[in-house]
Amino acid sequence: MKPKLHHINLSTDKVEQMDAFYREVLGLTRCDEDIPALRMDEEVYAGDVTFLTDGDIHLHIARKDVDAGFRTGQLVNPVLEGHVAYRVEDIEGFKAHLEDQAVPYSNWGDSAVAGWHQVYFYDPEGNVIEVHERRDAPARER
Amino acid sequence: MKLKLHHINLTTTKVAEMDRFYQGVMGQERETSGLPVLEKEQGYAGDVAFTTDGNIQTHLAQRDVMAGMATGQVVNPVARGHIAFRTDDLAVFKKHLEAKGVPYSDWGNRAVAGWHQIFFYDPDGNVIEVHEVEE
Repeated sequence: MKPKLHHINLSTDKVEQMDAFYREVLGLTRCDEDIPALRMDEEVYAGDVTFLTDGDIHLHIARKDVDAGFRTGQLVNPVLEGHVAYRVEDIEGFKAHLEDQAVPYSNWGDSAVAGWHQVYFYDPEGNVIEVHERRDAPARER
Repeated sequence: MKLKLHHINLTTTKVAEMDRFYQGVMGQERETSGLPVLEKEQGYAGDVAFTTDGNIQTHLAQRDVMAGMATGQVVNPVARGHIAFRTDDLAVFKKHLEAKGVPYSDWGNRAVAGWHQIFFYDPDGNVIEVHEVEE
């Protein structure tokens, strides 16, 4: 259950400009597979996000949302300064591992993305890390 | 000229603690192959720990806010970290940046023996590295 890098999230006020830059300057392409089904719930996070890839690793260009933590009551806001996201096959096992390691985490569950169970936490420098499990049969669908 | 993500660089004042975290908490392993050979006499002499998830490397680098001043380079990749892509033709990529009007800092191989590296900013000021491994 080693976490594997899935995407880098850059949170920005300039989604269109960033999207154009990463496509036109870096040559990344739009992707429509294995992308999160954002619920677009205005009580959680309803920012626009574009999804790019180099063929393996994804880049998410997301609308910065400073208030997402206050609005949701979550202590880690992944769309404030962006995050680095890893995928595991067993999020419950990984949460138990974080508890063993005394690493506090913010459990977003599937509140932002249908079918992805997400937790967020800080590394020792305060970088935001996401770890998620993709569940192909989401518990609840809107 | 197609770019592939190669590593994420996180700069830190706590290399050993970050290294323990990325191995102990994130389950990454010490990277032992394909590592940059750091040139420590040419402007950046910080410690760097290298880990990997088996595919993409994480570079945990001693923060050095003066590396730009020491080298005369505008973009300092070890102030706030960077995202690094590898290309097989950096000369073509540099021409592409020039055509797009994107200024870049050409570090050549002064930081890493055998890697020709350039650094530039995305529209939000995030630092991007593109490098080519020299034959």
